[in-house]
Amino acid sequence: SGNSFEIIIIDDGSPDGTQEIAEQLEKIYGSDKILLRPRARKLGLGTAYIHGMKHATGNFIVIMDADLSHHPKFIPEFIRKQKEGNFDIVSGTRYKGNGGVYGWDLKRKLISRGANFITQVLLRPGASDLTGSFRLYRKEVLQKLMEKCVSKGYVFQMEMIVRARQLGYTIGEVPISFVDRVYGESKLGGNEIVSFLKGLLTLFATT
Amino acid sequence: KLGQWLCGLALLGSAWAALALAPPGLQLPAPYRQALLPLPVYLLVAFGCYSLATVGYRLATFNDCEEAAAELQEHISAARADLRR
Repeated sequence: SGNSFEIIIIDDGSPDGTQEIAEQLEKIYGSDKILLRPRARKLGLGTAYIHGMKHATGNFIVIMDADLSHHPKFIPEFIRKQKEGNFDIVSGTRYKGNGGVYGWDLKRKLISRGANFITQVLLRPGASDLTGSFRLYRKEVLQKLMEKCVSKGYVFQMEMIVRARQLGYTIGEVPISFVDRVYGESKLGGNEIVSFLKGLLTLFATT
Repeated sequence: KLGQWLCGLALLGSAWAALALAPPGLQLPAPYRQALLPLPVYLLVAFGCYSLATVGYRLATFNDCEEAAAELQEHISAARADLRR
């Protein structure tokens, strides 16, 4: 597509053989295109972002899930959108345009829409999908946001957008399709909902 | 945000209280006062209905990307074949 890129893979010792596959990919595509930066054990998403950024040499960073629920075909669209409005952040949204999901039952959809509604009412963030994690950031913007964000999990993704709005960054949106884990199982239990609400209230009170 | 909400609610709350619970000398005509008194409850119920309607509507129009899932499977097979070479 004419864009120059590198792929940074951060694996926290996944038990499913991710590391070996990544090494094979590195052999095929070259270590200038695929950078393996594994870590000894599971250290969390936020630190993975920071770790990855240290090794990133480009001007923009795309964050995405590696389990194919985020399809790389959207990356050129993100890039195009960014150029269109010179946005600091381009966020993939499942809720607008022809964005959507596949593989979610009614209950999961209801929880998703309900949580998003509450978040919109309380935080009025100016973005339609706050818990999504398929985004393009300007490198400096990501670095700045990482310094400021303190939460974990879903709330972390929300906090990034809320803080970005606070700091006056511009946010564009691209509809994406989220195909729920082809490999592995997804869990959305009561615990996650409770911590989401707690995090939301914290954000409400502190931003 | 909490600050904004509290300010807004305080403003509305005091305006409502001033108008609805004013001393006899300053009261509005009776019909207005009768409508004003339950207003907060009406608004709450209205907001509740709006929320349910909105979430319901969004739930119903939540796109299901079947084509995306099918396309993904194709891409996976193509990538596998490609990498085997």
